[in-house]
Amino acid sequence: MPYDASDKSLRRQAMFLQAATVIIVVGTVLNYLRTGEVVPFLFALFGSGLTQVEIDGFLKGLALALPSFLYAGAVLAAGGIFGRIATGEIFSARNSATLGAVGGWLSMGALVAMLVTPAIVDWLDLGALRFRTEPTDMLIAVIGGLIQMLGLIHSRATALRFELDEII
Amino acid sequence: MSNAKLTDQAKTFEVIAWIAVVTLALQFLVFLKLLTLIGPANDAIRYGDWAGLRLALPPVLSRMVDVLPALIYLGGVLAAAHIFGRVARGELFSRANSDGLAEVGSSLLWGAAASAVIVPWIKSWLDGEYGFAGFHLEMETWVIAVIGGAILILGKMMAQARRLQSQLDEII
Repeated sequence: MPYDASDKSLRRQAMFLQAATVIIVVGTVLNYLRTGEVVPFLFALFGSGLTQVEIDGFLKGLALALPSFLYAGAVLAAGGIFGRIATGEIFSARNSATLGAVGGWLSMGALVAMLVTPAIVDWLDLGALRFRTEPTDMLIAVIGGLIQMLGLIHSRATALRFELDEII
Repeated sequence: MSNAKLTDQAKTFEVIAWIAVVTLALQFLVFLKLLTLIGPANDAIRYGDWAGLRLALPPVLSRMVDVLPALIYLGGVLAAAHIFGRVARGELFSRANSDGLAEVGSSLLWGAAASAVIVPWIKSWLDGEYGFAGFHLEMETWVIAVIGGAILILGKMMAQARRLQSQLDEII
């Protein structure tokens, strides 16, 4: 689908956001390696032998990083859409499906951040199950729903595009 | 997916969005402790005693700075709730929806900017440091900023879809 002049700013934004997605994904992985107690766990696993301290630390780090990984998955999927938009593919079935996936990853990440992560962390620290509702997590959950719905609307727009192309 | 299913889904999301709005508003009320201002404000208005209000106001303002990003995000959630409502009424490709998406995207970008730069800067001034407090870039802030940008792009795509729809309507 070729570009017209009005699509240029869309293309520029998409390229900029694609670069940002790379930063986020790399940052998420590096941050996990730095703070997720992965190195002590690996040293213990292949060296002195695992103790409960290393296992708990590793599980806690994993639980804390899980929402970030899910958000990174959403951003990675969004990066795919940005890449396709940058090459001129705006209304396509692939973009609609990926939009749905982006919304799904975001909502899932927000739910994990509210329900799973605090439960695991507090269980390991205090032996109690607790949940947490931070404003940013609720925002991300709603925005995830919005993006999922936009995926459905986008598929409708794609159908319109095909109809118009067939008529022309 | 048929229009009926899409509108049903939009209705569900609208309910979820309004639950989030109410929960967030209640959380803000509890966190800001706005009710602590009622007594001093009453004294100030009825008896002209401003000393109590002068003491009670700074902590509330300081807490308001803390929740500034979340307050901006609340605007985005409200805009999203309105979009869900319009889609639930069968309004898909409309200027109001494109504008609403731009509003959601801008809220996310401004909220991320507030969280990364504006709040640390204001707090450094409130703490008497009077300087630029640098950037506080957390991964969550990055994600929200990118998703905000993505929603702005989606708003533009929706505007294009609206043009397609009107072209198609003209032809038919």
